[in-house]
Amino acid sequence: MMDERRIVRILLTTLALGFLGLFLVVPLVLVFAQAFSAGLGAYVAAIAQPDALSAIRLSLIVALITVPLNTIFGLAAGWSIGKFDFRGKGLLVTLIELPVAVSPVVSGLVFVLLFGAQGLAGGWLAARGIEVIFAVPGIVLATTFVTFPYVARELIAFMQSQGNEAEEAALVLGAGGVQTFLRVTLPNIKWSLLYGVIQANARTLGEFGAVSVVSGHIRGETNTIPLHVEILYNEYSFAAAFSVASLLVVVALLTLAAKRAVGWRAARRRAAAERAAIHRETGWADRPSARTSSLPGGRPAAKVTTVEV
Amino acid sequence: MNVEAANVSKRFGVYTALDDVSLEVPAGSLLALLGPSGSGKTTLLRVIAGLEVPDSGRIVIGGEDVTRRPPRQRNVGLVFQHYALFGHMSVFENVAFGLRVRGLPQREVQERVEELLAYVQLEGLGCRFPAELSGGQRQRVALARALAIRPKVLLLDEPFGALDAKVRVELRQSLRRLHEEMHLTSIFVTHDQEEAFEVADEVVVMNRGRIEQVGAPHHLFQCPANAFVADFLGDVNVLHGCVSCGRASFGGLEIPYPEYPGETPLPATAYLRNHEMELRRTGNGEMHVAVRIAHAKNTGPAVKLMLIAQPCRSTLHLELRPEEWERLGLAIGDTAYIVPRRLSVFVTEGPATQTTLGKE
Repeated sequence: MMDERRIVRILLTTLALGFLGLFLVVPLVLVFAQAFSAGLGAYVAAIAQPDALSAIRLSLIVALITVPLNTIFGLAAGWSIGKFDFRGKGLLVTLIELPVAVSPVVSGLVFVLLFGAQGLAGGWLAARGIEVIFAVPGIVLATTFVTFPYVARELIAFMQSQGNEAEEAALVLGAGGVQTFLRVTLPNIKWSLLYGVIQANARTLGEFGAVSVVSGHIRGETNTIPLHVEILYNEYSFAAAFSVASLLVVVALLTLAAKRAVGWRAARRRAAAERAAIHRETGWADRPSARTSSLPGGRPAAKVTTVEV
Repeated sequence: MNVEAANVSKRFGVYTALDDVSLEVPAGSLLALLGPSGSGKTTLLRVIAGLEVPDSGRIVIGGEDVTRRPPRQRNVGLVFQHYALFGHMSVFENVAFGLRVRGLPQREVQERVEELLAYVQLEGLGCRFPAELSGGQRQRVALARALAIRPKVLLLDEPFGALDAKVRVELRQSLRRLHEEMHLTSIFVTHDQEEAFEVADEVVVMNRGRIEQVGAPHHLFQCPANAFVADFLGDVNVLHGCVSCGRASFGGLEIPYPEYPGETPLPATAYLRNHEMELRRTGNGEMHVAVRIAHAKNTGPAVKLMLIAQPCRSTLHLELRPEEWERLGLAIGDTAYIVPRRLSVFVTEGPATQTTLGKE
């Protein structure tokens, strides 16, 4: 007879795996199945098509601008919130989370209202011939807004947990602000930073809602990869749509692998610290030593001997 | 180098961490800042190191006013309570840090670091990482790192706090030895009375951001300046009573108190130490306090008694040797008498008086 707990376990595991299969694995497989449904030649052709190449180029340009901006912003936010106390800190943390809470479409609309032809700064910009909405600057702005919490919140959490002691130690030892940041803070946060950057990058390449509002869908000019996929799909070019979409899936899989690797590095360092804590050793006074050592002051030392009573 | 804090105050929001603190640490002395948590001792250490800027007052190190100087221009060594080692650097690089940021040539750095690692008996562990070391070893790395820059003043925040009991006791001697060999002015923070008394030349007792008393360990113990110091130094019994007309009275116990000749009685407290009082079956006239034996527990080497003082209902603790207890022939519930040999009397806000009673 089967144990009741075992039945529950099998049931729950099956449920979880079934759910995972239905909503993750099947769609993933379908994307590739559809992409290659017209053969390898059609797949390559769909990607090599000029409009598709332009969309890929634009997505990469946006990522190249957005991700470094987010990194700098995230470092500044993490540094100020994690290391200092000031009035309004709670409000700032909440504001940083805002883009995650707001629907991307609303985020996009905000920029149209600000920089569009009818918008607050629209007339001023038009008079100077600067295009923001329905152009690359608008796409960059919207994407930056939507993705800026990713690096920041990763760093805020980590830097808050770390405290200030290492930086203070560096300052007392004679390091300046820049030296402290480069030699102590940055090496300490690098895995968290990398993790945040990977996430921000994935979100940048995949962003649809906000970009869709500000882009204007001009083929070969303001289409990013997700927008191009939508256009192809709406034109019933299913095989081509899925071919381009498969690029995003590959990015997602690479992101997962990278996150896993980075997370594994961090976990391994933690484990090393715990192992060392278990392996304790007694202090230095209990080790009898009859050596005569020269003191760091350059003066000869008395014999360093401890006698057990 | 001597260290001086003059009228230093520091507030964090509504919380006053340091309230007009003045302190002089002569060059070459080993001083302990002792106090309960929240007494301001760590803040004072951080103000001296330059990690906190005081709201008012001055810090003078070696005759120079350093109040507005950043930590790196003060040439002090600081050992943090949790060591604050750089986790991504090897032991060698940790110790070398202060030398590297000063731009010393590699050969000098190598020499100095090896010297220091040998001094703290960590030679051969230079390429390990802090996570691979035990607590005691990390402490020694932190110490070597602080000493690398040849500071004139060494500051230690709870240097024994995070270690287990055995290592702590050994480290006390090490710190004492280090201080003597290096000719440093050392200041360390602790909340442990025993540690402060065993290691330091002079102890500063702090409470609520103020200095309550400064003195050599034996002096503090014998002549506590006020009720807080007497209480904090531990193992004291308290009697409540009052003073008036030049006399202090605690139940059956009456002693002269010429400091207060007034007629209105003022509440007063008497502190008596465990080893400075005697338990008897019968009283000796004036100099005794009647007590009821509430509890007696024979723990083997000693009998621990809990006594209730009859007039003021305060609880006294006393330890006797088992044979003394046998000889007295007392039982729980009996009334007996406490005869103090020495006690300290405090009137709220008034000066302290130490009285030695009887022959001694």
